[in-house]
Amino acid sequence: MKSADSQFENRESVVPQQPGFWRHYVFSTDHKVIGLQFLFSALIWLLMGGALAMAIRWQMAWPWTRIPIIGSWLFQSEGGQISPEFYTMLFTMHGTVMIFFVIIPLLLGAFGNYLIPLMIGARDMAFPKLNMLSYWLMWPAFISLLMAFFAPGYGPGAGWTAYPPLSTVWEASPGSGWAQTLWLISLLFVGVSSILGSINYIATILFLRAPGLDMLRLPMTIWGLLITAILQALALPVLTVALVMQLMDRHLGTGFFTPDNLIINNFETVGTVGQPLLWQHLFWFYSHPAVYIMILPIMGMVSDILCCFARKPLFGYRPMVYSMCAIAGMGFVVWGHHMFVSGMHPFMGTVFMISTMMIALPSSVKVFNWLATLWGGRIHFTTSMLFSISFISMFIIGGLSGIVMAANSIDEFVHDTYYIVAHFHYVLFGGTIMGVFSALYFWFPKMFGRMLNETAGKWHFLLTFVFLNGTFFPMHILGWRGFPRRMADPYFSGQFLDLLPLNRMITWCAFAMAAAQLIFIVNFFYSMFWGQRAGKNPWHANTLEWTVDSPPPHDNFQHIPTITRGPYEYSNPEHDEDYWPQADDSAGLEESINTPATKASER
Amino acid sequence: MDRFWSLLFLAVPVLGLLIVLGAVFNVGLQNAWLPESIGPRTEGIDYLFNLFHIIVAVVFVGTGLLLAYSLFRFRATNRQVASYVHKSIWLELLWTIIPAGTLVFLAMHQLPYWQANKEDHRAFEPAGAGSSDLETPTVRVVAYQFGWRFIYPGLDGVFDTRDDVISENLLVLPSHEEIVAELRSLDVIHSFAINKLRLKQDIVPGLSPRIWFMITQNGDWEINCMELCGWGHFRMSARLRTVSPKDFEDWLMEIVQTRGY
Ligand code: HEM
Ligand SMILES: [Cu+2]
Ligand SMILES: [Cu+2]
Repeated sequence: MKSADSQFENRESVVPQQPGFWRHYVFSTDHKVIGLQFLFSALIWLLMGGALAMAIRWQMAWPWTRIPIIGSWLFQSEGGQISPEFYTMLFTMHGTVMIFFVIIPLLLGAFGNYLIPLMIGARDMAFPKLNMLSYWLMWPAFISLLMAFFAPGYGPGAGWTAYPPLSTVWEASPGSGWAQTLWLISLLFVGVSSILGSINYIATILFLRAPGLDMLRLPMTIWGLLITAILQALALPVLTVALVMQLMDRHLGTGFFTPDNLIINNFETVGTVGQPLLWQHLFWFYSHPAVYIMILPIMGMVSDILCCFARKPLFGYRPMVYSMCAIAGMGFVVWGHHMFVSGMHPFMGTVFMISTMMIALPSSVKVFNWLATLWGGRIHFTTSMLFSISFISMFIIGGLSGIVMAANSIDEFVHDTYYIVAHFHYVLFGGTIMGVFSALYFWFPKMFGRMLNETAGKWHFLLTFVFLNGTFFPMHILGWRGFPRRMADPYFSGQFLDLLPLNRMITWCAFAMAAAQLIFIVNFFYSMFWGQRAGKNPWHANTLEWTVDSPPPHDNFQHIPTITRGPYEYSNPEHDEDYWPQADDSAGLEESINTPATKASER
Repeated sequence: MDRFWSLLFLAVPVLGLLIVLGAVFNVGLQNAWLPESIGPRTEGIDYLFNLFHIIVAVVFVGTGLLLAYSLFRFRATNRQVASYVHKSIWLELLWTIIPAGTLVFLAMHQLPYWQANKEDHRAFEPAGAGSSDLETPTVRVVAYQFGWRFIYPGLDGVFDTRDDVISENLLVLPSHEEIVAELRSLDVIHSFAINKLRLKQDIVPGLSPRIWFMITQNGDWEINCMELCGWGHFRMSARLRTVSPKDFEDWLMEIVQTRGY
């Protein structure tokens, strides 16, 4: 194999041209710019998805009442209150936006792009143009989803799972018209974009590592991103095909998923012999691996951040890598746990129960290794560290409720109740989003050359953490009472009226949690321009990205570094300092002047 | 400040446990644990539900305390230098084997309940295929947007004959008898769910799954649709009325006679 160096030899000899504004900021092939483009798009969509969630909470707490201020503007015809069709759109779009436009683009698009070349000592991705394409393919997706909001019927209303025939038959629901088609087109673009991205990541990590950086010296962040990219490359084609099939059902009359002789809202399906279960299998064959796509990269980043602020090597590097591989591999044989009560043969329920139980094993191995990493450390409570610790704490809760639901007899009871909602918000909000915050506080200095304010950061953490639990923990209680999800008015039958006060409490916490994000937004933009200067290595971390300027120059490294040790040499007694960067030579390791890492914890 | 943060993470297992205990024992939180039970079907499920939550709670509290304690003990303001440890095969084995054993136990332990609830009656024959050797169901449930139709075979005990009895949104059943119901959907996917029996079965159009259960109390209960089926999903509930077997016969007879067959 050619060494990474030689691939870039010709580039180095070229006098760096100054790209113009458009090539520099918009149609850039620089992985850092693309990473930031993904970051900003995803954060904007996060606001959007959050707003949808607030509307959902409004309806759960004060069903069919006028929304103050914005209500009369949003729904003039209904007298300022949410209508049932609108409510189905709300949770459909909330799920879709958060999964496909926020979490996946944040993890792979933003952090994946930004960090992979920097952390493996490469000047850019293996295929920079492909990389740019994968960002710009997100725009048709954004636009068609935005159009779906304004399509007749308020927008798609079949849930993010889009089960047919509700989603395939136009007459089935007000949102099953053009809105659903636009939803499908949007996801199709996301799918293609992610497939291109993941191929790029795999190629980059496998072939562009700096000399000396063998696979078992990779930081966990890179392992997480590599395995995730492989998962995506294998699972996404299945979703993409399923989306195309659903589009064909809707527009070409194929009927892959639609059975014969249904009478839906006075429309009769004729001559189709499909089965909705087929969609469920295809969809979950992608979407279960997708939930790991949404957490493995963050597991990697959290591992790195924990080590940095505990000033201690990662405990059990190899078990950590193996358990990630195990999660990814087993992730392909558990999808049926979403279909325990679907009507799939019950024997398959047994098979999927057993595989699902077993997939909790690698997750628990990871948790214990994180705990052991903290044990004996010298823990600095920076904001980033606090978010990472809360990742562990919250992931434990989500993982444990996963085990409960893996028991199919129990799942028969809690399926489609708020227990599920509690479970996946603990892993996706408590886990992934808290991890994303941790990663942002950690790498923001590298991205923008300035530190995020620590005091504001700690308030942001504290309020988010408290209200996050106030919002999602009581949802377990709703769940074990059988309170249904996805219902515009769960109190309609009278059975759950006594849960209304608890729902109001949850809604207040959700509002408070949303309000707390204002601190972050202000901090983010303030610090970008006026924050304390970061220097090259503010956290005294070991990995390669901290050996270059903040923000890094166009081609990252002046000369490709040679790697002499693993990423976790913290507090090595053979070395004077409590960190020992992966590369010795390097583009200048002059001490950064300020050391917020140590300062912050003294506060 | 470091102490404050360790305490914050201590609050997670402590408060979490208190809330759950409060829910289970009705302290502070009313009716926050499992709904009441109206049939023997729930016994096994509730037992598993409790057992799983006890095991999960032990792990939750244990790991939570461990986390909070490490944060407290190893805070930077309390220590000069971190220990330089990379791995321990023994610990690694320990926390692989113990969880693995627990998970295998849980999986094997709950297997028979699923078999009893979902497999034993050969519930899942596709419509038409070999249905002749299945027993005649007590009632056929037809779900549609957004309501329920319940069809009884009538006096001749055969479906699709003139004396079938149809009831809209009201399912009357004899108590203390095992009921076999066949589920069908006219349009999209619905789900037949009785919360107080912990019973749930999706009704995918094109399939006709069967369920069986017994209710041991007389009274009125709720049937809910638990799978998103369109804008009116929330109002797709029906009443389930259990009466003594004799009253049930009378109810059927009355309908048949007023119709004059
Ligand atoms: C310890 C490992 C885990 C186990 C055993 C587990 C188990 C399950 C089961 C059985 C369900 C289906 C519940 C139902 O619909 O009835 C489920 C749903 C779900 N899980 Fe997990 N899970 C685990 C970890 C995760 C992680 C790490 C994530 C994401 C980062 C995740 C995200 C989700 C989501 C989003 C759903 C709901 C999908 C939907 O119906 O909309 N889970 N999980
Ligand atoms: Cu899953
Ligand atoms: Cu429904």
